[in-house]
Amino acid sequence: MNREIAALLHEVLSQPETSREDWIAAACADTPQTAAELRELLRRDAQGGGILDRPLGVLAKGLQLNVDDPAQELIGRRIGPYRLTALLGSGGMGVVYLAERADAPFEQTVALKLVRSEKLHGEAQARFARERRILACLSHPHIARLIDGGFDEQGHPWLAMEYVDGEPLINWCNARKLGIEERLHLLLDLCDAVEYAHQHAVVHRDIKPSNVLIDRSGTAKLFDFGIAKQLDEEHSDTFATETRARLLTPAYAAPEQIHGDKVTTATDVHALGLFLYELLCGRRAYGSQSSAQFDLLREILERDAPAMSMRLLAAEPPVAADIAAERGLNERMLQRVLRGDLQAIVAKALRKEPRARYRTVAEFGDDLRRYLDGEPVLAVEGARTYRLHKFVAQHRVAVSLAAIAFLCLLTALIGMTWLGHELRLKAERADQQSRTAVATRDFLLDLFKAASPERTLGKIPDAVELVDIGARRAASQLDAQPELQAQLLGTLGNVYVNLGKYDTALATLEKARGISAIASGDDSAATMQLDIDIAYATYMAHKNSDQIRPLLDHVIAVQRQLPVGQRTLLVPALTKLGLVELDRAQYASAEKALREAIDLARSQGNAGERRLMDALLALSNAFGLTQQSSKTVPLLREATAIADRTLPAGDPDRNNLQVNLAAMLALNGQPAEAEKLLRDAVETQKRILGEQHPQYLVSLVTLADILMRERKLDESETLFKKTLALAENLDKTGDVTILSLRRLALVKQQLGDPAAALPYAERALEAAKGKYGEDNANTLDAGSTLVDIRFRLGEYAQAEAMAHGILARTERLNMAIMTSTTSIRLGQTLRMDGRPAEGMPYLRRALDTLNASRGERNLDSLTALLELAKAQRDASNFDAAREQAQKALRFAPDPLPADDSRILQARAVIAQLDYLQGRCSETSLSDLETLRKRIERDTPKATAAIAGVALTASLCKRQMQGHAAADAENEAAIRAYAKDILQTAIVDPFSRKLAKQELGTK
Amino acid sequence: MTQLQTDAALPGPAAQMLFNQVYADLRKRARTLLASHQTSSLNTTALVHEAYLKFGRSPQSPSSALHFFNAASVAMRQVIIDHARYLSAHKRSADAVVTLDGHLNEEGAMNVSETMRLSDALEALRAGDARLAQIVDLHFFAGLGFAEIAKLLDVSLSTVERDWRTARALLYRDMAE
Repeated sequence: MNREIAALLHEVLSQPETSREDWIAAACADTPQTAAELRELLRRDAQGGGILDRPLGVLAKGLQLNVDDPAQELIGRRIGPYRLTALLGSGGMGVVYLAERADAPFEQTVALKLVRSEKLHGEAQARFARERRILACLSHPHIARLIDGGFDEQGHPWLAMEYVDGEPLINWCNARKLGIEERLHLLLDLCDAVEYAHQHAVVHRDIKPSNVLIDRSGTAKLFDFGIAKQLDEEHSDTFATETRARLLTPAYAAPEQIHGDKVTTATDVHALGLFLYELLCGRRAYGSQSSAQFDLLREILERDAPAMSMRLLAAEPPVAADIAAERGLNERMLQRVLRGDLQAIVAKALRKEPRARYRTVAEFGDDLRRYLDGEPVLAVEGARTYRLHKFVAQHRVAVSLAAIAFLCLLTALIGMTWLGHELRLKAERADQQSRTAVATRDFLLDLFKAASPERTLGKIPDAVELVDIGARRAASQLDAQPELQAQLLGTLGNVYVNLGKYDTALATLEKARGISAIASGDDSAATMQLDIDIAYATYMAHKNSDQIRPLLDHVIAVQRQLPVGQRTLLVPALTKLGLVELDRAQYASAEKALREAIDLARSQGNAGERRLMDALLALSNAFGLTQQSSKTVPLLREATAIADRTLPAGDPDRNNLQVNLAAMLALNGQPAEAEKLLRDAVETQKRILGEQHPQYLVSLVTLADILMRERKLDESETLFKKTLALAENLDKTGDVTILSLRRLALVKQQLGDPAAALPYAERALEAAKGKYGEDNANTLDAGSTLVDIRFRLGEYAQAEAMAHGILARTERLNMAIMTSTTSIRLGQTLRMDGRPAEGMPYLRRALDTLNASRGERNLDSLTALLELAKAQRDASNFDAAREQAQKALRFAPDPLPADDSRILQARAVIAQLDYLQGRCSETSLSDLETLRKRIERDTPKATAAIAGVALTASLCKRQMQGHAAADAENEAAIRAYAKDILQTAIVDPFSRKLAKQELGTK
Repeated sequence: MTQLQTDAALPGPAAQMLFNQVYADLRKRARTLLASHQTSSLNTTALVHEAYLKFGRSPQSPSSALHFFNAASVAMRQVIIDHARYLSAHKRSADAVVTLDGHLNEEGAMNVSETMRLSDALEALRAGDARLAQIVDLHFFAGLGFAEIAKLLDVSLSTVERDWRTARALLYRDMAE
């Protein structure tokens, strides 16, 4: 019955009011009782005003007690020196009155805030006191001043604040039809105020239109740091979580506020972004007039704010034309403004992740000023980076790809300076790759959502699959949009480059260029960008390298003819040219191009910063390659500063630079600063990325490397063991695993424990072979470490065989420096094996190659000279040996100090030759003594080496005394040394020969 | 609490647990506010949304939001009606309420009896047309706007508005009888 009557009533109510009676009469013609009931219910409907028409709160309150509004009761009362004259409103947990100074001869009107609660006193009072302390610290023309404060008779605290008789800023602007520029200037005042508060460690947390008033003089004032809190009082606000929801104004809340996460200065940046949004486009960024609160919250958490130009068109009053009129514009003009750089600025301020927003309010303000000055804004540049960041965060595969590229760079830079040109160049390219890779991958993400892991049942599609899908789609589906098609194919081409598929890359890029040339013209920016890409891909592919220069030269020439402001591709083209020239070992012209790129990028100010960073890095690579590593430091410092400024902490490029800088500092005798920088970087990464992140690992490896250079071997070993454990956990055959193994082998070597180094080196080599193949610098490097260890262990036959194997490959791969270092080791091995003459050709060739490629004064040449001298000595070519040793001596005092151990060794070789040629002198004696002391100091465990030098010294002494029996003590010493030497398994054949002669002649 | 267990909107044990939590929370909050003498009227809408923030923090599907607000409205109803029942049982007379400072308060008494009549009428309505009763719960007790309800129930705004007016008219009539 009830249900039927309800259905009928529902029906009646859907009729227009005037025709309801007719409807009832018609529908209930046969049931007059129902008709009467319906009429009665309609009367009830119209009556209203009952219990159901009042808010539930009123009922709830009525059930407990009923008093007059306590807030109203207090009007007229005196609080402190003030008399309350009117109720202004209640907010937060206090009531705000208009009050006047009651005791003073002058008139002063204030806004007086009174906390009335007794039940909440604990929390509220602490908060009130805090608020008062905070506000008292702030004195700024655009912040409403705190005038006074105290407690009333009942002990309720109160605050007297500057009273502003004004209206909300946005209303004020609309009423006066203020233009965009004037609005931005007002907002900049507000930014100053917020930045000022931030500098005093105060976050406002509730910036919204109703809290920003314009007073009679037209000055903007920021109000109500009601829920402001000192940043350093973070932990004392348990209460804030409890009341957070009530205090916050959802439409202006930042995601982190809704989540209850940490509120920071970035929260205010978000609020200012929302404020700017509304100030410009006349509508709130989120929610609509009818939207439910939970929808609003979800929107803030999940959806990017709609573009202002779209939002303007929302079907809500006021209409877009009216909003435009309020800004002194017509609708089309407003649309244009909203679509431009301001949209990028707003979007950057409104990012969901606090870290992705402007880092400070000042940066936000600066970008607005740049906009007003007609300069390029950072937000536009940042938008690309941001998208790729999101991608990197979501796709660990991509991250580890970038990390691998990054690792190659590290190996070259830090690793061993002798790793050679080729590897370095590869690494430098890898660095370029990682940058391009990251820049392009985000674009792919947008396009290939279909292939994202969420839609492929958790399988992460591999990069190649992804790109292949993309290339097919681009080629087949985008004919109607040739520009996009060209752009997409171009991007894919670059990705192929990064994946090392150069042929496909070039084919794709050429195709893109063809499309672009038809769609936009040969000399359009889009086409020339592709020219640059093609040049780069060709360079990477090591193909037709003579074609690269003309291509880049053409782009550069065309760019130079454009007005200065439009030469957008000049810096990247010059940077690429620099890289190509670097590859061709044309260092002078590389430097010239890169310097020009740097100067140009500098002249573009902030907008060119990222490109400046690239060019600086390229130039620092040029210097690194030409052994001018000291020149790299200032360049890397500048690049790092840019990265610190423009990239969020944890950004791969930024970390890359930091770590590069640290590596270069370490090479330049500033290991302490390098260590500190790296320790900072490592800490940051640990915090942001976590211990499992490949980048963190790579930095840790670098730190351990620097510690190794500083000869803090124990700590270095500990760190490498840690990186090994972490890396094996990630990937048992991964790059970092292999690198850690190699480094552990080296550290053990340097600790004088080749036996302990051996298993690490063997594992490293096996893993490297599996991972990189045999013809790879990493594998070869691991192999040469193993050669060193076998050599130290006296396993000469094995060392020899391995060294030959490595040499065959390095020669074929044209790896000059690695060929040289291995040749030296092979020469050494052969001499130790008692075949000095066989080793000499290898040593000579190494010396020639080194001298030719790096000049005669490089330290590897010194090692070769020294070994050659010893080999000649052992082969009894005394004069030749003396000549080589003399040459070695010329390395002191420049570049080496006279007491460098290699110089000491050269002197000792000369002294030994003196003995062999019967020319021992006091000088020979003292040179041998000096070396002995040095060996005793540096490697006290090397007893055989010490005995060897001491034996020669004693023999010299005997030679100088003229006859054998003269000095019994010396003779005893000679016998003792000789015995020691012959009892030692691994000993220099020269010492062994002398010892044998002595004991044999006996 | 007996009627809660038969509430059709709250089927499984998970929902029951949610309800218990929401109920305890709302009760605490409402009591705190009622006892504080601070607000001139209890903002139940804010209370419920606040609870939603607490319990439904992560964005949820409309159906789970509906579960939540169903639970919340029942909880609010319980807070109010329990309280009225308590007052009517423990005070000197069934139709007079003594305020904390000892004065007889006519309006308070009226509120108690009116609340009890509303409760009875609402249960009668629920028996006949659960949907209409749900609209009353969501709008009056949980403080949701019509637009919000329309979204939750996936019906048009005008339907919700007419449902409300229908329910209200029926309730007023029953309460007057």
